[in-house]
Amino acid sequence: MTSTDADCRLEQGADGSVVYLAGVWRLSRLAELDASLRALGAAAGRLPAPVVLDGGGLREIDTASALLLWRSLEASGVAAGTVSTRGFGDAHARILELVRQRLPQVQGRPAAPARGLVAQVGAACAGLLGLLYGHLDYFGRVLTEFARVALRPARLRTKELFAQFSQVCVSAIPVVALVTFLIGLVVAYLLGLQAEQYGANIFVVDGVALGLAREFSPLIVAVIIAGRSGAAFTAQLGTMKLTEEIDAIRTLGLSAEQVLVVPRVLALVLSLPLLVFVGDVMGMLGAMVIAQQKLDIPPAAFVSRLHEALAPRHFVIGLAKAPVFALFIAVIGCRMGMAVSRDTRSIGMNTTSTVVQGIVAVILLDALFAVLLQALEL
Amino acid sequence: MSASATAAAGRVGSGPGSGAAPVIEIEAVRTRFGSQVVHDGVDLRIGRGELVALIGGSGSGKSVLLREIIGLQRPSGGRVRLLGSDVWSASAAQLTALRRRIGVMFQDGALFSSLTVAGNVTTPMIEHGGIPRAFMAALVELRLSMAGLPGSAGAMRPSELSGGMRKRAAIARALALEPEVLFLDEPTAGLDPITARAFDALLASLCRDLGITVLIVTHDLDTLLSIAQRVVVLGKGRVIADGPLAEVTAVDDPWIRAYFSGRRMLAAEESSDGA
Repeated sequence: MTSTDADCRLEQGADGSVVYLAGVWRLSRLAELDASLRALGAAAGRLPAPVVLDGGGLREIDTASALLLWRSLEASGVAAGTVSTRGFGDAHARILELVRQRLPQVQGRPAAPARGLVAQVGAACAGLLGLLYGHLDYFGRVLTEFARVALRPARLRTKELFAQFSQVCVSAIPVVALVTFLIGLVVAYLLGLQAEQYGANIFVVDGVALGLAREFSPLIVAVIIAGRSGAAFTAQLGTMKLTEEIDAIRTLGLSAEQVLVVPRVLALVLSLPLLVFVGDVMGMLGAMVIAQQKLDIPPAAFVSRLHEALAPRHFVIGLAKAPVFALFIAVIGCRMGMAVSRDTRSIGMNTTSTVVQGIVAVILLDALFAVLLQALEL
Repeated sequence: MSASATAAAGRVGSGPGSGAAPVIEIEAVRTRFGSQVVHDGVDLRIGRGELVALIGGSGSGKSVLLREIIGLQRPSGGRVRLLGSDVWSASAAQLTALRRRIGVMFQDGALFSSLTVAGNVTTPMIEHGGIPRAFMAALVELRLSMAGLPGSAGAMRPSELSGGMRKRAAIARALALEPEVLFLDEPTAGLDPITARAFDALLASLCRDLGITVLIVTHDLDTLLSIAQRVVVLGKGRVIADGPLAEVTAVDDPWIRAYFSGRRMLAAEESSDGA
């Protein structure tokens, strides 16, 4: 019985079977070769032993197609070790042998299936717990370093502190000013639409002042800074970790936390109240513009109403929240940077994670403040 | 690696017409970075199935030359032909087709850190297309095994690998599509001597058994001694020596003398041992 094909041909007899290979067996033709071998296998059924491979007509063969050939033979019940070869060129025979020797290591196992939904949820929860525990641990370490610096203020890296302050505060002013100005504008506009219906235009000032100073400005500024400086901390420290700069600092007998983390945390804690103040002023300015254009409240009237309506405590509460937000953003950012592992991918992952964690932390803290201040009747 | 029963001595020609046209042809390549001249007329021809080591002092432009051959960096002048086509006048489609026929191993492996080792090796196969999906897993394992990695390494992430395994994984990825030419930048740098020699043996067997042309940029004298059939020395912007190791060591050049002086004795000892 004989089956023919351009690539391979089979001759079966009582004393065994011969597979004749011909033409070009290359990776680029794998799909065609696969089809030819399948056709051969389907036509032949089980090959009678002994099996001989004849490479007289073969022009080219590479390891990928050799692997395909051996696997097809094994699939039709022929053990590769029992096959003898003839008529192959030296190079071709060597490639066939090389692949044959490696067959035991080639199982073609598909990749392990992805984890089930429950397992994924479980792993995520365990990961979150580990993360929070790690944050707590790191927070403690940073506090210890702060205590050391407080005992000997000469240890504070003032140069690094000012460099960080310039980056997180001074260069953040334009974006903070722009965003809070627009927020003030929008809030005044929306309140104005409602207040106008009752002829209560002037009360827009009360609403805007209270809302901005107490909630919007601290929250919005903190979210901007979480995305801007928190992410920057992670990326900076993560890159330093990857290039072993942090290890170098440690081997010089210095504390990486003292050199890198304390100035960053301190700079952010000092910066955020200032930025919130900028936000307060710009938000009021935005509201003032809308009040004049849409609600017929001249700036002078706006300011004098502001004096009556805005109790200083609201303004102070807004500013007082800022350092707490800053502390969390900075510690999360630094810790995620220090937790970067030895591959480039983890810098990106940790940076993303820092932004998400920073924003969630800010909103959680803000809610906590709201409940607390309510209970204190402030 | 055990020698196959049918393996014969001599170099492997892969397919008809082997050895006719050179695989790599560099003519009068000049490279300048600002006022700094790196290459001032480099000429080099490498034939099919050769295993060539490219050496030279720091800043002699070895890695730059490599990047110019594989089409990553344009030389300021001259011609680079790879597998018969001009790299720097080829269209984007031609260059892509050309790159499918070569494999490159970068110094630190340059594995994709978001993928497992198996994913890294699969990437070029998926891009190439035409490989049956069911067969791909088996082909990946063959590549890992050819690079000397256990099958279990396929599920690991690059960050979990040691330096030696990382380089092996990079070789497995470079071999994915059966390249005709393999370029390696400092393959043994940062490896311990035992791992480095095993790596040399791997490269020699790829060249001998599969007929792959191999160009290695290296500083490793042991690599030169054990596997390089031909050594090309770059210096002063040109090729200052080219030939088998014995000929290169005899060239009268201060850099070459300094480079080999420490090893002359050892080399002499080894050759007398082998005789």
